[in-house]
Amino acid sequence: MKIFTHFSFVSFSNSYLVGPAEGGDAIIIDPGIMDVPLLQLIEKNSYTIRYILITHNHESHIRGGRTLLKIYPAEVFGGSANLLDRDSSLLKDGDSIELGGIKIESLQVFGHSSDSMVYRIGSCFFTGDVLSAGGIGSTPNRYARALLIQGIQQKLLSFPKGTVYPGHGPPSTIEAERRFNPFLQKENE
Amino acid sequence: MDTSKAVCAFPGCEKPALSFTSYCAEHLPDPHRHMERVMDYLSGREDHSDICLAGITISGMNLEKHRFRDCIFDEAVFLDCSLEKSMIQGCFFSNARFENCRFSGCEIRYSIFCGSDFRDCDFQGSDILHSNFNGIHGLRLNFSDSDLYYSSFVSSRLEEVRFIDCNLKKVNYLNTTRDTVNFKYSNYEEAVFAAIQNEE
Repeated sequence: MKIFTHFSFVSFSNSYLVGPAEGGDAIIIDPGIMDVPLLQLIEKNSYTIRYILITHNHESHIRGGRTLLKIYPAEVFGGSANLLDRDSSLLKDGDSIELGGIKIESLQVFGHSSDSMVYRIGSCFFTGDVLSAGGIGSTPNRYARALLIQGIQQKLLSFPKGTVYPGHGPPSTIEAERRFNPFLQKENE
Repeated sequence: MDTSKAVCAFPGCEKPALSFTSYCAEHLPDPHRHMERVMDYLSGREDHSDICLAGITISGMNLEKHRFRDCIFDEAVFLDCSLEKSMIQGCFFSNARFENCRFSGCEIRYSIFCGSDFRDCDFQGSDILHSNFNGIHGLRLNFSDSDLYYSSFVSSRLEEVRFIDCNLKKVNYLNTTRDTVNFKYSNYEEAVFAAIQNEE
């Protein structure tokens, strides 16, 4: 399996292209933009987008999805039943699905938004806005913030290791977030 | 990155196996022979992708203009190496150690250096984009004339580090300890120093 990162200069967000090394049916996680470089990335690697995974229904993470759906006949998955102006496959916490031979587990982490999902593929965590390198998602109040931190600690940092692919900013590791993320240290004290 | 990595053949060990062997650095049956193979490989070509050399020590090597994609160098040690004008994309250098290494004119993207130790290293004139330096200890480093867009130094300890005339847009210095750090001529107003939350 290969993972490619694509950065959107419009929404400053990351999209991830996930597919078999030899090409074929592929997944896009959070299509923040659909531009020519992303199209070239897909086509150059002989991929057809069959599945779109949305970490949460915020514009910076879905903006490119509508265009993408005009090019590729993809099925949409996420924590809401309606995404990208169409019915989508609703995922719940702990669901395991297999898309194009790739096993995906959905982990629901509340706090940043009511539909926030983290997708785990093996040891790779696609965290959207839940967790970024040295940061956590914005929250509307202290209760939501506590819920978010609790969710991160219980559902993500409970894994001994893994790679974090966030919706914004550079990649990280589970170990690095456990050791260096200041938002998570305070709660551990 | 390619996620299909073999694990060490030593019973019970779950660390990734190094390239050119079935074992991790700790369980290598013949580390000297493996090191020779690594040196031959690195000096024989400039394009390297999906290799795992976690925990090895590379000393005095010229890796100028080499291109590394999706490689794993976690806990590796680099001593007196030159990586000038090299390209490093999607690579892992967690808990690594760099001493007296030259990265001038480098292009580093989407790479992880968390928890690493850097001493007397030169990154001058580099593009260091979307890369993660959280939790590093940096002593006598020079990032001057570099573009550090969206890179992160959260919870790091920086001593005698120069960021002169750099692009620091969206660079994250939250929770850093800084002693004699120079941001002259850089747009530090666009960097993050205080606790703010994600915009979206």
